[in-house]
Amino acid sequence: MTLTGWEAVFFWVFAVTALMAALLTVLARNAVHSAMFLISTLVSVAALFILLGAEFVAGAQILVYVGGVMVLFLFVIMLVNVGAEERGKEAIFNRTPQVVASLLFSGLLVIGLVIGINQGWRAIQERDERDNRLVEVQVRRAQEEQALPVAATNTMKITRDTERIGNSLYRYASLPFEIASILLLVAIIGSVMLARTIKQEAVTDDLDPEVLKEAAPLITERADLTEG
Amino acid sequence: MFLLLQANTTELYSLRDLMLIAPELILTVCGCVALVMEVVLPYRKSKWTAYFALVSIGLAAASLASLYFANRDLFPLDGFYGMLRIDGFAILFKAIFLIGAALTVAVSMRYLDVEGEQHGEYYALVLFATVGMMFLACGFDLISLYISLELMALTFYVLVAFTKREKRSNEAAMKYFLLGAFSSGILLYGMSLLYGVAGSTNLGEIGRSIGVALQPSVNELGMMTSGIPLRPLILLGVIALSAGLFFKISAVPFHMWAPDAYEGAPTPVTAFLSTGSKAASFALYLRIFTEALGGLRGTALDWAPLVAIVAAITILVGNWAAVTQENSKRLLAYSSISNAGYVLLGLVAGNSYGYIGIVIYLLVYTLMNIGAFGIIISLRRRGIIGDNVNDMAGLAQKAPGMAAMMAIFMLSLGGLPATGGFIGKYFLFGGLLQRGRLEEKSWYYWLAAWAIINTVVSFYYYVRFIKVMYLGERVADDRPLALSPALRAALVVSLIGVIIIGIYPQPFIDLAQKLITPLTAGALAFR
Repeated sequence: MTLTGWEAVFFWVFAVTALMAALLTVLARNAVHSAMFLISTLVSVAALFILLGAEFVAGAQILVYVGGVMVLFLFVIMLVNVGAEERGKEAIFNRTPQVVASLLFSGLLVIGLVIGINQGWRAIQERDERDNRLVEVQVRRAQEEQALPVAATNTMKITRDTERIGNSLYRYASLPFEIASILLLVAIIGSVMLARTIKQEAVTDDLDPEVLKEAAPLITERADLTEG
Repeated sequence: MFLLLQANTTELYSLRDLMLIAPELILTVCGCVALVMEVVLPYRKSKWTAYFALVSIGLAAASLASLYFANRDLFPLDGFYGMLRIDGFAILFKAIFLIGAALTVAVSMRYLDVEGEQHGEYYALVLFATVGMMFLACGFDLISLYISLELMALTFYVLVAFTKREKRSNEAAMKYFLLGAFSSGILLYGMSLLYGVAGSTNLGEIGRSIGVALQPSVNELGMMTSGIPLRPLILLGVIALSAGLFFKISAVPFHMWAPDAYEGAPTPVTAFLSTGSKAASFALYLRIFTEALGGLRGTALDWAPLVAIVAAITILVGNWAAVTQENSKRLLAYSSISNAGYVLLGLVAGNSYGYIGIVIYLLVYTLMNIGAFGIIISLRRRGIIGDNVNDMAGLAQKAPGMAAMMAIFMLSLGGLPATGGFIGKYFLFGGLLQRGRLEEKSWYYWLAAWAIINTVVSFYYYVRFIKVMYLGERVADDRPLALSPALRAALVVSLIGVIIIGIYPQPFIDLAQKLITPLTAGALAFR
């Protein structure tokens, strides 16, 4: 499948935007700027999903990442003091050997990918043409599109995209889906455990008596601070 | 139960699928119960959670055994739409993980008391990490494999930072987390490239499509088109995948995190990290490289030279860097790096000798390494860190039994005959020689010779422990060791395992041979 017309224009616009914004995410000194650039990366990737015909994934990407995760990120950045890094004048790339090595390896990776994907794509296309698979797929797609129900505004058709994702997520990928829930549970346990202060542990009787004895003055001091 | 039956009626998955993951289900449920126990119990009763964790590991082992005995001819069983495959390989590795988890829980109890961090979450996290490992052993799809790998890794990030009031622990966790996340990204990159080539995430499907892609075929003009156009993509995928996995098993260009993480982590976590996590990563490595990429052996894209070179460097660097270490946890970290190199040799050999070697070596390594760390744990007391090699001085006078055990673990790590370590190394090196004779290529011989020479070097630092314990002039300290019944039991179990496998290995070899057959059959199917 080769992109033509407006599709190609949009693809290049969003692909370049995603790449540049990702680069700026890493390079920005201000953490808030970083987060903002990350948001534009995610939005551009969502646009690329739409070009691929995966509307549901695009919507989920914007709702979950941009709407949920990134807002949380911004909250955390604004609550935590990150001033020191902003004020720094030191160059970000200050170690020449490391910069050279990383540029070298990323250059090699880019060359390898360009060669590999070019050749591989051509090989797969040749194979598909040989088997007449492309025509088959196009005919089937057209038929499917005909069969789709029309939306209420009568301007477009409702895709089966969401249904397909739901099917594969809760059927084919049901096991990884469940494992991911354990993963999230572990993440919650870990963050709560690591973030709990000594005072909170003492209150819930979850602290070693000797550690408590050593830390007792500290705890009362903290208590004074929070009350006062 | 009602919910499960309901799931059955909508045909999402059948009850049979759930039976296949019964051990993991038991561990998950017990992990959640352990969390509740942690909330309910006051601090001084936190140890009950540890005993509960041991019981749940026992239950999981029982259900694993019933899975084995229900299917003794070990016909591979697929479940969850091909997401996992229960075969001898999976059962064998799951057994290794359960042994490692049980020993870790046993050696942890007193250590956490001494650290003043006896929390029930620790045992819950160990259980969840084991669940991740077990899914790694039976996953048959890149998605489920990746998620289980992340489950295991994330749990270990938390466990490494578990003694959170200790600076070293925090630093270790930070390093491990950053590099681990980075390596996961590389691994994912390789997986996505393979998916691009094969159009499927199922390992069997990937193996089949790669086989087709590499086959020369005749196009309509009567010209031979070989699989060359897809080769660069496959090659890139294999390289990225290997790089990510080399991180996980701490093979040499990617080993930097291991010494720091091992030194800073709480010692029982170090023991579990160097055995369970490493064995699980090897299970993943074997699974992908035999089932999905096994067809590449003997073609122009053979990955064996890559793995062989990495293994050779890993063995060299691990052994020589260990020689100069003063901290015993750091020393064992380098020793664990070099051992990863030895195990990689089994993959290079790629025949039943090599696979038996991998399995037996990982089993013995789990026993002897947790044993060695158990002794280091017993040296940790209030006010004494005890993780310097010289802290063992005079141990032979103070605690002759412990010193003898440590000596045996060390000799086994080095691979002295009549210990378990020797049997593992024998099969690993023997597999290389067999392969070399079969293919008539001399570099297999050179590789085996290289590994043997470096094994001799490794005796230098293993024997150093023994020298310090028996010939040390002064006693490092005269306070009694921090021993508990559970720690003692764990040490004795590891010792018995190491010695039995060393002296009478035949039943283990037979079992491993029987259980590993599907793997060799899978690799041979492409030839």
